[in-house]
Amino acid sequence: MIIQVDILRMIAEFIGVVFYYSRAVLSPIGEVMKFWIEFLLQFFPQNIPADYNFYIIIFVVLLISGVIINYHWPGEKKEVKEKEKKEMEVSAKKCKYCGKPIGDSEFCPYCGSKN
Amino acid sequence: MGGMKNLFRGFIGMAIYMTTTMLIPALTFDFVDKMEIPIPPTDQILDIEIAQGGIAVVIFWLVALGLTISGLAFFTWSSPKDSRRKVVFSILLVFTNCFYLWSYKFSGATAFGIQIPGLGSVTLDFVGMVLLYLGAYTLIIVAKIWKLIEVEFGKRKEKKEEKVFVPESTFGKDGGAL
Repeated sequence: MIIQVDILRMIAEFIGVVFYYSRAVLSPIGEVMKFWIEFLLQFFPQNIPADYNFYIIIFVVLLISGVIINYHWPGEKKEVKEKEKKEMEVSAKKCKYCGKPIGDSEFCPYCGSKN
Repeated sequence: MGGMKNLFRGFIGMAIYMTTTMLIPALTFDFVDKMEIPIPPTDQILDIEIAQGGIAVVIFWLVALGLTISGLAFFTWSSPKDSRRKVVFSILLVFTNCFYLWSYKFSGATAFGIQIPGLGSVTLDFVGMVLLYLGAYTLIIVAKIWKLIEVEFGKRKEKKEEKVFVPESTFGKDGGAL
């Protein structure tokens, strides 16, 4: 129990120190943020009905659009391209003797040696 | 297959945000509001009052903006890595988080009134702390915008490489045709 209290006190002191020293820099920036948020809030509560329906609709729309978009564009394009690239590189067989690419043929078109 | 993985990731993100922006704060405020601390030796009750008794307003804004944040978190977390939509939605998520934080202020949740029997009352105002967090969020927004620029340049570079890419199987290393 005593150890737990000590740990909690240590964490609280650490957070306190971080807040204390970052306050000089972060609080003025926060004031700027406050300015634009308050500006937007002038329009916010009056135009939006104060019930959960509006927010539930936003949530559901985001959820459904997320599912649809991820279904159509899962972001695998890059991986597939890299795979194709690798396959192409592997398929470019090289001549044992001159080192030039010979494709799938048995004889090298450059030096004529059999591979 | 990748789509399913993305969706799974999205649901995890949504669950995390639902817990941290709605469940834990709402339960904490409710707990603190109902909490009664007996002061010895007379066992009089120390009453903590949140938002001057308007706890319902606080919880309304927590849930309303928490829902919006959770939806945006689902979209952000489910988007593929290094995609434009992930970065754009993460910026939107941070902006909504700023609104969420400020909702603590305008719903009155930052002001705690403590009634001490026989002594009077004390009011604790946490607006300074909210401003501190808003400042930190500003830095996050800047970092995200930088990330967006980075992703945009990456995409352009990728497009250019696609145009120039000629596999080795078509031409030899020295440029000779097969």
